[in-house]
Amino acid sequence: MATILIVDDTAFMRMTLKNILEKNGYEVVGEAEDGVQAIEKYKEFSPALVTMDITMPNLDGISAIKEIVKHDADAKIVVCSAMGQKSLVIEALNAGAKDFIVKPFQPDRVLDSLKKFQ
Amino acid sequence: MSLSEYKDMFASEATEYLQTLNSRILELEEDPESLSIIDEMFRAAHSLKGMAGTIGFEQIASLTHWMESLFDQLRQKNIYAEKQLIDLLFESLDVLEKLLDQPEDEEEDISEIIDKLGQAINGAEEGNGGEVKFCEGEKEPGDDLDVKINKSTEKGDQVYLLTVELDKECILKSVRAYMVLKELEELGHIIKSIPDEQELEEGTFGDSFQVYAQTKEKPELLKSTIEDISEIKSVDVKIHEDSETKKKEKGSMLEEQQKAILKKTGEKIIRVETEKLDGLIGLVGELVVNRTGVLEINKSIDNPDLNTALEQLDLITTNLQNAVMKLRMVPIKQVFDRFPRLVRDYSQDRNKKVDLFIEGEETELDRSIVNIIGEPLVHLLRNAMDHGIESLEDRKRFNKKESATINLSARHEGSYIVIEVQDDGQGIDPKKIKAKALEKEVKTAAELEQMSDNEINMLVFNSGFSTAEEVTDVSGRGVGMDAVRSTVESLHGEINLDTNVGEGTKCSIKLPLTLAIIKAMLVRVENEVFAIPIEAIRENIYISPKDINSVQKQKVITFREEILQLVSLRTRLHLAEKEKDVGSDGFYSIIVVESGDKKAGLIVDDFLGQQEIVIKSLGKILEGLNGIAGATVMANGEVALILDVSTLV
Repeated sequence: MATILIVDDTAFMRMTLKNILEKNGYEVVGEAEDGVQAIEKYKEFSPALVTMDITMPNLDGISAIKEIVKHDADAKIVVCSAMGQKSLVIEALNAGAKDFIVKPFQPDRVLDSLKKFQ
Repeated sequence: MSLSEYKDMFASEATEYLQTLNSRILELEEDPESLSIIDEMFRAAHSLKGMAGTIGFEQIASLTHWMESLFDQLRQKNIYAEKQLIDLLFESLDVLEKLLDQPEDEEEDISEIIDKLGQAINGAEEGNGGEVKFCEGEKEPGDDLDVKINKSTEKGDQVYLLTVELDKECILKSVRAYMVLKELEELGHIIKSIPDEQELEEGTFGDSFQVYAQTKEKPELLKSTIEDISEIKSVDVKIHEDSETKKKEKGSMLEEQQKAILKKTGEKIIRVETEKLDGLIGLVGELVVNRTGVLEINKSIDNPDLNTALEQLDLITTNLQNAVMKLRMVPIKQVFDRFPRLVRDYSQDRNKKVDLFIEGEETELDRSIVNIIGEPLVHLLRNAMDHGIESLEDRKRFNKKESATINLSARHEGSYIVIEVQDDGQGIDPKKIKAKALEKEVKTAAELEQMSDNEINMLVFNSGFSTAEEVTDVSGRGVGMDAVRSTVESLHGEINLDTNVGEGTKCSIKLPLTLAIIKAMLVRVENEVFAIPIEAIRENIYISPKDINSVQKQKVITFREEILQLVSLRTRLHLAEKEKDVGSDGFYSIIVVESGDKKAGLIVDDFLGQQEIVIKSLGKILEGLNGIAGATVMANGEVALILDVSTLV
């Protein structure tokens, strides 16, 4: 079963994602609410996949992606962005994210995106 | 997880973000150039937008989107946070708050506020050409796109024409296109795209685009690599013949960006639905009551071993009760946070200068009280600003500082919380109150003679009492202060005034910390048991029938030199047609209760003793029953109704 780390600053989005993922057989091994926690928890759990929000307090998603990729070049990170964050998504992809999904989430889209990494 | 649970969670989290925005905008007004404040506002608006979009509240998503854009312009210093803009932001928050109250109500018209936000943003963009750059340093002169495919390539290289079709529902088409181009760059070189890169960047193309790419790799690999990207519907790879290719070197698109890593431990908080919490609290309450029951039984058994065990049980349940009660406690900050904004708007409106100082906002009290106490405090603050604090001219005349001060504080005192609102305004003049009381016929001149200044001042809490010459839109109707007092009393609290003419007024509210478990007196009437909250009880007395007089068909007694009206619970609660005769000892058992300034003696059959009880509401159907405040389950499993003293006297 693929393990997942969910990174988002709102508990609501984390819960929504977690719900979609757990219903579809993923194991959510951790949740982080900012970039700093994301890096810590990545090192702690070494999840197979990470969903990463971009706009977060303390440390944004892009910086967190860079740190995580530095630690694990094979990290599979999917960026969760909002509409209108085009340039940030590109920056995240350049930093090492493998894919992106756009909020508001359509469960199918999320699953499609994650399926490829298994 | 049901939809309503989602909504509850959304609502609670959204409210926090709204509060953050509110406080930050106030801070921004003081410090208009602080990037950290703007960043935090941006994040709050952004998070709200994402949440609202996910749950399908389009109006909220749309409004927060515009706010986010405005914060972005602020951040880029294209606009400046002048007063007009702050007002606009507050206005947006007001609309947002309305929307959050009724997120599914599509009626609310938000086009006006969005227009305003749009204008503010446009103003900024006109001045600065606020164009979003696609990927800096990567753009190439347009004529490069027409470059012929160069044949002098390394051996084995082949040029392919790829036709890529995106999913119809793909949202960020330009980024998907970017991902395709990026993958192709890794496998070989891109020669040309149709439409050109500019259009791909802007996302102004239909669902498909074409790319000429030169590579050593097999077409199957090209196809599968591109198909692996999300939201790609299909890829068609054809060999391009008879073409020239030209290598293009692109600068590294990777732009290193160093950001300070702020180490901060996340708050260790679990979100629990209030319903679950209330369930737990209810159970602990039952446990406490049952413990009392067991202790009671033991009194007749008197087994020393059992005694020791029970003492231990008693200690643990008491600790458990205290721990659980703490779960219900929330800081009063939640309420106080609204006030800086309120005072700002209101004092501006009234053309007064007011500095609000808040103290003890971390003081905790029961969640249910926090929810109720907000309105009364709003009234007190407005009252202070309307009636307490003088006009600018008057303050000058009295040699007072131009800007007035309101201190709002909260602190614990035993099992009570004391909230004070203190202003340095003109104070309350008992002479004026006297005159008003006569005019409004609240008291007679003779009665007023008997009253102390403080008692006279307390008359402002009477209904229909206002000394303001001019009625403003919120205070001065004499409804407010009366409502404040009744709310405080419904929470079993007290309200007091301390005022000095010319120096100011202090209004203190004293409230019990919790409402879930109370001490009550159990009494029996006919075969029913009733609970009367201890706070409402003054005394229990026995009265001989000969001491009872009749005044206007009302039974009264003279008690401590006061006339005390008697209320027969038996007839008042329709348990029997007539009052029973006296008890076997020849006396009536009477409980003297007090609510506000009213007292009465309740005639009961028997006093059963004191107990801690858990208050349960009677549910929707029985809501608002006259004389009944709720119910409780006793240790023996029987239900006792809790009497609402304020409606009985």
